[in-house]
Amino acid sequence: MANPGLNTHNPIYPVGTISGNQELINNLLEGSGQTFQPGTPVEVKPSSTNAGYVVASTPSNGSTQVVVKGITYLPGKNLSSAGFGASPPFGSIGYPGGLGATQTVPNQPSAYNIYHGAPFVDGLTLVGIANLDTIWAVQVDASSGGTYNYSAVTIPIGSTIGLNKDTNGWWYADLANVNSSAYADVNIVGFNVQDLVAGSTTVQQNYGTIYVVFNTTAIQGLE
Amino acid sequence: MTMVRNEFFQAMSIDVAHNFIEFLDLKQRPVEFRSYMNVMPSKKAYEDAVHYAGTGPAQPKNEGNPVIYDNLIQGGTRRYIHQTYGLGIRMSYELMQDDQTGLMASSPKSLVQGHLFAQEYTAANVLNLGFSSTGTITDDGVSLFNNQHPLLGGVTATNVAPGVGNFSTAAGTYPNRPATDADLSFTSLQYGTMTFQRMPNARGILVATKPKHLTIPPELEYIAIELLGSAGKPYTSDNEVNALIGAGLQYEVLHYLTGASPWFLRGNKDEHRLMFYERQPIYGDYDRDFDQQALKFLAISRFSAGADTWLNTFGSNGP
Repeated sequence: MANPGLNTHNPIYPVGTISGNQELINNLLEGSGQTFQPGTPVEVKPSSTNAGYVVASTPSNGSTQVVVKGITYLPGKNLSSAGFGASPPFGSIGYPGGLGATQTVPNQPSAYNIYHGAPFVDGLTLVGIANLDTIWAVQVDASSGGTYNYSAVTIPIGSTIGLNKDTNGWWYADLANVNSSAYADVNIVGFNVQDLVAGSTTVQQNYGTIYVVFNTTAIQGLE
Repeated sequence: MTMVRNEFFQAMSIDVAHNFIEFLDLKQRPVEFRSYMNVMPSKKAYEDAVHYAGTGPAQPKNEGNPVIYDNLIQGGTRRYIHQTYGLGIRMSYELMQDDQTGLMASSPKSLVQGHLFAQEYTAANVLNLGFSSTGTITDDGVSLFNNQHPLLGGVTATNVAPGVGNFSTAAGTYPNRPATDADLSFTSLQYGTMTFQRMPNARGILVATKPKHLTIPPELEYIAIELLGSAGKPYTSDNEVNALIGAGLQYEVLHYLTGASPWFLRGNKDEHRLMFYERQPIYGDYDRDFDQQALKFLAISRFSAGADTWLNTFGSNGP
């Protein structure tokens, strides 16, 4: 199979809601060893390692559809244990509390130096919840190669499209998987007109952005 | 959820001798954490504290020889990430208007009490969780109360510090907790004060450490009175003087300690680094939902608590 045209894509991000409210956001406990990019679909792992914690979703393989709790706004912090650093009730956010911490303190092997300005770690990741209200912007690409641009004529609004992941871990809407039940991850509800080919009202340039709402079949526990 | 009149139908009545409203009729405890924590303001998302050690003791210089050079030591970092706490309450327009008791109008006081509790409990949990390797960790990477705190100067520090071997159970470390936790008693308190006084700095140099305060849960108050107040040595018939009186310790009951038997020693606030950062003092706000005219109150605050270093503290987790 050909690779997508780009090896890195814009993060998936919310552009609005149907209700007009702020999109629903939850702080969910992050699983261990997660290195996902911001804008990645994530799920709450139902069982085995990291059960109950947020991990990166797996794109549909044609038979098992993607499972999405939401889109994380933050990169994975590669936590040493699931939820590492999260505050207990009326407690403090855990030690050491910062990314990029190095264990270079003489005679104190468990101590850390944290570079000033290093992102803090609180065991949580900020997740925009996938529901029928939030509208997301997703860049298009095609895992099959060939056509890399969205056309509202050939893929009308209301179509479903699959989400896929490039080699660097950034997700895109895969033009190779349109209106296929195994890939019915999101419903197209619009597109960014600034990506249109000059003079056109329906055809975007390559790798434009479409607006989508998650399909109920992909949503983990509809909220 | 919005509170409505049918949930509080008694508040519609004026024929009540007294409405016992807990958040108005019960006296609140005085604020405790400000007496034992160093409370500092903060204007940042987090506060970092870094530990530095000075040089070791002076070295002999023989005739014609150069002096020995030493280095200061950069230690670990302790980061305090502020946690936001918030709580709101919402009532219908009709409930607010028809309430005859003043209960609804005074309900923000209840929100404030909830925040004060969260602050107290968070501060006390620095001590409650101070014995756990996943609880309160100081800049040396181990629990606040530990019988083997690694010193930045390592073995060299304990080699030079006078008398540390009487308490240290591993070279290069010093305890601020008994190797086996002990209940509060004359013997254990004596051990704690002595451990405190032998406390070296990271290079083994003696510093002026002396416990000033004994922090206990309510369950230990009477024992503390007997230990610190008896003219003679408590629990003996030998007519010895109570040597603990000379220690000059003051006890304080901390009502937010969870255990019945842990006890703690600490220096004055300018001597230890038990920290409470106040990013946002308790702040109240209110508004109305325009369509429903429902009234909403909320209170919000942001703070963090922890300990930079274990120095000038001592704790025992009971037996």
